[in-house]
Amino acid sequence: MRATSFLLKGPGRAPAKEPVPFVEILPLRLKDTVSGKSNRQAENICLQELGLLLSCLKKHDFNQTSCDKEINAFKNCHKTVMAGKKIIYEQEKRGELKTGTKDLSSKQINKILKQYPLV
Amino acid sequence: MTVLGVIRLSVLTVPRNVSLYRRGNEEFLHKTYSSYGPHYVKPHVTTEKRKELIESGEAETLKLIPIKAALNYETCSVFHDELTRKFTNHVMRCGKKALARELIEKTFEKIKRIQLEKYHKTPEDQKESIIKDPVKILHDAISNSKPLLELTPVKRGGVRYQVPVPITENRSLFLAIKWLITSAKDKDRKIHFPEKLAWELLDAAANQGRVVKRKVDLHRQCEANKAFAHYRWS
Repeated sequence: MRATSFLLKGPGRAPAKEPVPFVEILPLRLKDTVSGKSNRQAENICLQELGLLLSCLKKHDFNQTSCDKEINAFKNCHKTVMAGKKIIYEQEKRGELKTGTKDLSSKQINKILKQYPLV
Repeated sequence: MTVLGVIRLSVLTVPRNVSLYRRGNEEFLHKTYSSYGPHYVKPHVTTEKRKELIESGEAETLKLIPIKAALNYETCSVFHDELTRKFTNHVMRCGKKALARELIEKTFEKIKRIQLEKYHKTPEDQKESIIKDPVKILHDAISNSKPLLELTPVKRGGVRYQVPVPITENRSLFLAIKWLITSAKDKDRKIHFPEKLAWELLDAAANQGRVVKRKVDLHRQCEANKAFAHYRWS
């Protein structure tokens, strides 16, 4: 009660006058780069094969001879993933860009954005 | 390999150790510091491979292509075994190859003696099942000791999780060889390395012993840490 009367005496904080001036703190345009951080999560590959393999091994008391199917599936999965990665790495190294590809890596997008900047 | 610069190819006549590549719209020259030019191909040393090439007709095209000289360990000898060579190189310390080869030879002799003794002791009808070839034993031992997975520490939220990850064929081979050699080195002072290595190899070839146990333990740990498998992002 005491505080209210005291506070109501003065003018208080001056309200902002219309129109409020706009201050551009960051430039109002998109950057010509993307960060490659979101790729990391997407690379959890061969998880299903890994799970199957481990459960099979546990079931057969870690005797590999009874889990040949699972082992081969897991190895093949890893092999194909690594081969795909290698191809992409080499393409990036050579600076190649396949026309018509929809899944571009962050590096490839950066490359295009650099060639054709937005502003 | 180094980049010479943005020199247009048409300006130069290209020497044999220089090749051209493109980055974006620009042409670069790549210089290789090999004594062979980029058009040289690797030699095919083994007799089987050469027979294969002749049968498939690839040999005809190879006739016209310059071929690199074979490396000094590459041989067409029937006694040469690639895995044995690899294993010998891992046994080697301080570049003493002759000593490493001697140790492997002694190991093989020991294996041969043990297996022959076993062979003569077994009854006639079961003799077929005993492997007497030490090289075959080495191959079996290594293939039985190869792990499928590995644990790698990944830090998440200040906690270090042991995450099971798949390993490459090369890494798996390396681990198997390393485990066999380290377990053979862990021995009594009076026992010689070849003797212990022979026992370890025979054990591993029979899918038992310390190295196989080590592999199974690693698989067990991977199974225990299965829940963290999705933490991997490499």
